Amino acid sequence: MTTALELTGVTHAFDNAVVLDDVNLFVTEGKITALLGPSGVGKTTLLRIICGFETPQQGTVNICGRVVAHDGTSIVTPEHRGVGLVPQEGALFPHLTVAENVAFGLKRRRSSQARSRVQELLHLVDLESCADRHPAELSGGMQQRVALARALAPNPAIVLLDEPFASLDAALRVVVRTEIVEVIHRSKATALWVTHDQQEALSCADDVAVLLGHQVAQHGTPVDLYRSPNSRAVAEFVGEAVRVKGVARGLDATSVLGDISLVTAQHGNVTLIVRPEQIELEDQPNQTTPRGEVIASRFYGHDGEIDVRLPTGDVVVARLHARLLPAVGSVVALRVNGQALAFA
Amino acid sequence: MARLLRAPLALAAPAMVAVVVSLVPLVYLINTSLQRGVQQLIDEIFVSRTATLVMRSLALTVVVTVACAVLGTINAWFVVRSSAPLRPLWLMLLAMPLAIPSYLSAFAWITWIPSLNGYFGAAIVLTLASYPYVMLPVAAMLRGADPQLEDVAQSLGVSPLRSITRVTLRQVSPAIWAGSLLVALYVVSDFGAVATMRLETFTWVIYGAYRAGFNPTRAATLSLVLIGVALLLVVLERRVRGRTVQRVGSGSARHAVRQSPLSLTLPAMAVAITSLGFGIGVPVISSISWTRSSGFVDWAEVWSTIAASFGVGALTGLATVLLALPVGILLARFKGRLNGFTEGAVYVTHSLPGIVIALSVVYFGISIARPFYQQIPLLVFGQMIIFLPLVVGSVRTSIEQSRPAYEDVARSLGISRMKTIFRVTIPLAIPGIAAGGALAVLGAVKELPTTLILRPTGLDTLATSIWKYSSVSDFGAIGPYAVALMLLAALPTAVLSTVTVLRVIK
Repeated sequence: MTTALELTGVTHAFDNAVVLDDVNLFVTEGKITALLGPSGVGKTTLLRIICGFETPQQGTVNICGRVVAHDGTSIVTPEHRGVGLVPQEGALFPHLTVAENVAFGLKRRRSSQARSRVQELLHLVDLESCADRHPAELSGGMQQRVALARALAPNPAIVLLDEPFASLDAALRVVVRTEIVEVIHRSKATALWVTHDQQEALSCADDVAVLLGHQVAQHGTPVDLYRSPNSRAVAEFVGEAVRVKGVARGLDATSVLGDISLVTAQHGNVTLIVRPEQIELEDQPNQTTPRGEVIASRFYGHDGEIDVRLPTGDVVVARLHARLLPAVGSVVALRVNGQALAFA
Repeated sequence: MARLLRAPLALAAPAMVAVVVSLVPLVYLINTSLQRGVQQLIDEIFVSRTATLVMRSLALTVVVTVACAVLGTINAWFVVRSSAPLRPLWLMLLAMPLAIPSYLSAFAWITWIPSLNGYFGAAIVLTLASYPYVMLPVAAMLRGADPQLEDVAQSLGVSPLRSITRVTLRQVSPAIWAGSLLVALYVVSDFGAVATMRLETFTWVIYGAYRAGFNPTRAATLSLVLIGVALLLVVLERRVRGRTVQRVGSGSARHAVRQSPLSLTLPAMAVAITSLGFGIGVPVISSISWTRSSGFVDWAEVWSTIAASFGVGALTGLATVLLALPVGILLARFKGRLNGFTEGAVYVTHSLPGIVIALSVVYFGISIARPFYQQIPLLVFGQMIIFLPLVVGSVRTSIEQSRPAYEDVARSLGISRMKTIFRVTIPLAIPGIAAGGALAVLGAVKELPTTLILRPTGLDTLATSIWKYSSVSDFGAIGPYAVALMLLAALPTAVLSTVTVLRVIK
């Protein structure tokens, strides 16, 4: 597998405020890699550095084996980097039609090759019938598909998607991103997908790099990140986390939620992290089963959540099937299903 | 985010040329004022008639500015917040005085009431001509301000009128201040109204000193004092404009369709009707009645004058847009070292009254551009300097309104920086560029002192013809020119105020 994009030791600051601190990141050819991080952590700056709109003060940017920026010097200008950008809200040129937008980056864009390339891409994103429309006449989701087609048209080494669905409403977002992922896979393109939405990152990407504290905290498959995060920060950022104190002895720990087995061995006082869906109601409780009072209940339709206050005062969240939700005020017995994460 | 890109040379070079070219004549103005030495210059500034002049100009400026602040704010409230019908139409009509040159309405007023000649006449004419400078920004800001604050004030037991003064006016006070300073700048720069009313303020005295011809130093020195006053106003205006009131809290912006009580709407409507009646009614009705009273009209002369006005206007518009484009793009998109200088220079030019620019261009012409002196190129050059800041502002705003992401996308698709400007930046800014061009054409057609001073001998525009006939009180002859000028000026004004209307009231 070849690497389409590689960042080594990228460090950047604005007016002495560090935005990126020794960032190392690679994107494998033919894969969708998500760059996941909370807002204000430097995701957009990283993207602009890859595009060439900012020059990193330290570190190296390498696209397809070619060094494009190194230690404060931009070696290749943005227009020669072969990077396709899909910005927030698409940014389709409002003065051009859909077809003209897609043709924008093609050489000799009135030639018959260019025309057939535009046809091919509009077919790929299933918008052939909209070729002569203006962006304002398209829905938000359609605009995003055109923006992707425009970025793919000149066959870029890598496509960068910058929070592409932030402006779409929640229901539409899932549909559109499924379509977009399909298009990227079908065109065998390489993509770096910047997002703050962990659900989006986990469900769409082949690989996820978590950007926390201005650095890449962990890089792995979605399943790895969720099941075995390498730090408490990653565990709490990727997915919901229930935290309780516990005492670990190797692969076992005792806690207010009872005895729990651990993913990795630990010793001494630790913070245990379990996912809300791991906490279940115990239907055959005995004397040592942890119990607590339901203090809040949230019904989501397909499932629901309850907040349970344990005798120690700790409040834990459990995700349950909707028909199992107990009433507020009732006392329930709990058990933890599967292994917990433990951090010192 | 800080965009540290430096501008490509192909953009920066023409922008610098534009800025330098528009500042060069000033050097000649300063040079002329220093001809008899620094001591002479200082003596000239501190003679008592200069002090009288300053006091008289100041008195006129203060009275007109305060009157415009009141009139403009009431009219703005009326067109945005009152419950009157057809408010977009009211706004468009109330903006129309911008189309009527001050010398024309001044002449209409003194033919109607000859005793107004002097201070009061000038104050009335200038107030009615310049209240839109307050009305338009206040209307725009009122539109953006949260109307629910007034609802909250009233639910807390405050009367409708008190809730306007305690809440609404506070919200829009930056716009009132900024608009008022623009009015003040307009008043100190105005030539037509004070000249027609024979009121000895700066511009009129400068023109007199220049025409008398014995003493170019005095005209140049007074121009320098006037520049000082105007610069002060521009600096104040810029400082005030930065302060805007942000809406607190998120949530969707609710736009005002309020039922304001009739007890407020009716008085405001009376103010609006008065503004329209005196601001548009007097000059329009006078012009029409002059046309009727005219016996013999030399239509060939009228048509050739219209053609000359339009020709000079179109040349000025074209030249100004071409010069303003690189400056506007540079200011909007490339934050570099050159920008501070460019921006400062543009603002200095913006503060210069037309008569001062005309005089500078004269001294410049006499010194180094002799072949062009009193030729069309120098006239267009002078007018171009006057309207450059206006057009730069229009171009810059429309570029700033389009997202930089468009240019980023173009670059990542393999398009070079200069090509991106031609394929993305300029096409997206076309409405702003066209509006700027229209502003320059409108201004050039109306412009009096520059045309008077710089025109080739024998060339008459509508402005100079009206001036010529009004100074000999030939009502009959003036009519066709007045009507033609107002029709010609109304067209771009209608387009511009429609754009503003669409932006302010949807």
